[in-house]
Amino acid sequence: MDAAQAQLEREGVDASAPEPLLIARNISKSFGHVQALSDAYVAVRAGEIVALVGDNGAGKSTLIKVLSGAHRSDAGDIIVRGQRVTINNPNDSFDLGIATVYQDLALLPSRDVVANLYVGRELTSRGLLDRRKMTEEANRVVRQLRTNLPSVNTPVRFLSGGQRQAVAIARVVHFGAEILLLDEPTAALGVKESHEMLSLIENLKEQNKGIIVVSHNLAHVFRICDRITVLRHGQTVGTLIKEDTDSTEVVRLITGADLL
Amino acid sequence: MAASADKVKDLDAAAADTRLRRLLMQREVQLLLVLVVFTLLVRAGGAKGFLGPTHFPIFLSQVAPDMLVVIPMAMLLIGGMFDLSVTGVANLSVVLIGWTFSRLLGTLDDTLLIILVVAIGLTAGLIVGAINGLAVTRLRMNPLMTTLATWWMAQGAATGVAGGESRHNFVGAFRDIARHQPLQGLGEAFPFLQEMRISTLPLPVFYALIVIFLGWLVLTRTRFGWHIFATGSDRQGAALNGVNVNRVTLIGFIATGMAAAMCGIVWASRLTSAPPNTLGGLELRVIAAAVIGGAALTGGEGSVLGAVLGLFFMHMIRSATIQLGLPVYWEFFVLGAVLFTAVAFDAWAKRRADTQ
Ligand SMILES: Nc1ncnc2c1ncn2[C@@H]1O[C@H](COP(=O)(O)OP(=O)(O)O)[C@@H](O)[C@H]1O
Ligand SMILES: [Mg+2]
Repeated sequence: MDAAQAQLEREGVDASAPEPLLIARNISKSFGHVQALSDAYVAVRAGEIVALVGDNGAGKSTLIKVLSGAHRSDAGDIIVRGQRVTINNPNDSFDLGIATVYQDLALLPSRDVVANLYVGRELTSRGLLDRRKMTEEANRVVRQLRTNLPSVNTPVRFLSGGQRQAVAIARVVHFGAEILLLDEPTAALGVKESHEMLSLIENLKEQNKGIIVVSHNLAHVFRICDRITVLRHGQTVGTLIKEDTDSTEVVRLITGADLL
Repeated sequence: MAASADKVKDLDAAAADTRLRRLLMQREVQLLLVLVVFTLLVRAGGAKGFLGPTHFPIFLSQVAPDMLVVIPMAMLLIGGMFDLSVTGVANLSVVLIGWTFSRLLGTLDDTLLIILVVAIGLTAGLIVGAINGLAVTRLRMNPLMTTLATWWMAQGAATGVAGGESRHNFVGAFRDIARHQPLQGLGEAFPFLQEMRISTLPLPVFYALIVIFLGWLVLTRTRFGWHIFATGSDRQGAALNGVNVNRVTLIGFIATGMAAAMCGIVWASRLTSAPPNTLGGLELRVIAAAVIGGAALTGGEGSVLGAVLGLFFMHMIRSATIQLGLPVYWEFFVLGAVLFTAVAFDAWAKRRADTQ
């Protein structure tokens, strides 16, 4: 179709493949004098995991936050299911079926699992909170994810890093989002918990979600993702298909060593 | 068979045990036990009528004006903010009422005039609350310094408007705001209410009950209440999840400001005079009460019941000091010691939770 499709073809993606769920292109964003993003691009299809990689400060988190509505981009297009959209706040993003798990999880430490699952979208009946329904649903979601939490009424501050991740993911899955943005989901986890997290992400892919995952760990990236988008100094330098590349090439693109 | 039945019994016992332990871990339950023990000790110490049928209604009417403020203050604390300006706001509202009465007495219908002064008092609270809230959210000013500044401005304005006079020319019926006893009629019909002195409870006790009920309802049963907790627990995290944190904070400051003004109105009605130093120490009294009741200065934790019990405790210490005939100066020592203990206990509980 248009430039977005053309861009995907340049990436070597079959143009007859299904239309991406989400495309973000020419995204720029500055904080005062810091140009965090200048020409960022990323796209994801249903049932696909795209890794977003880049050095510290490359703009990965900023790009995620533009898509999640935490930041407003200065310029650029966001296309969701073929429609141009504007995302001004977290609720816009949520309404488009985009859900985000932040690097710092954005959980509420003093609140229990139920309150964390429902923060910002609490269930009500006749104007008052429907606490019973929320608790029942929370129990169901937790069971579905096969994570072992002590009780959904435990404050999150008493949970381990892996359990917190599970709560953050549960929040996202629960609301039926089709597009998931995960910022460094394994950064704070031990080896075993990391592997559980990766399996969880693969599960979500099987449920036909489109997933963009930021990671520093190339082993993790190569284990789960289909394509790898490399960001450098706020600019997307390219998108590689996992089968066509290896970690040395990715590292070269991340650092820009081939330019020297 | 027998063995498995035993096992079930054991499990039941264990469940009951953890339930009891969890109950005892609740701040409200602990505080209630402390209050009961304190009451018994004071009675044993010689003040036999302490919180007895004669004292209790009087005690309630003494606590009531502070209660109006401690509830929204606790909610503000739970939302991660606090407000020092309440004493200044309450005194400003008192002085504005006295000033308005002195200007307009006789020119307006009495009822109309009363409605007018109440509206003026509440508006003062609304304005200062809105200034606090907007400064903290829009201008990102520090809440401590902002509300210290507005406290001084409100207090200064109160003193300035009063101009060294405390006015006493009030509409007679204005007294009813603090002194009317709505259950008096019921007391005639049901003698036990009279005996228990419940029929003598004045209106402010009922204002306090309404505020307590509303506070509890909002905090635990509405989305807005959960948004208050979310905002105080992690302001950024809450915002990322679509909670309008600035709205939570702004409404919190406005509610606290208006409650402080209402507290001033009650005092003006009770005293029917309007000196600019009618209230003193209100801010620290209610903040300390909320903290003793389990509200965290760092936000995200606390409850309405805890704040109620915390304020009861503060006032019980006051009453006990007087009834036991102790020098009043020691009251502050005891209040300080209680606050110290509560904060130390919180720190200890937090350390223990972190190492678990
Ligand atoms: N809220 C902010 N205010 C100012 N500068 C920011 C903000 N967020 C990010 N930046 C800057 O933008 C750049 C990109 O940051 P970020 O997106 O967090 O990088 P990454 O996640 O790839 O490590 C960095 O230089 C960072 O300092
Ligand atoms: Mg980052």
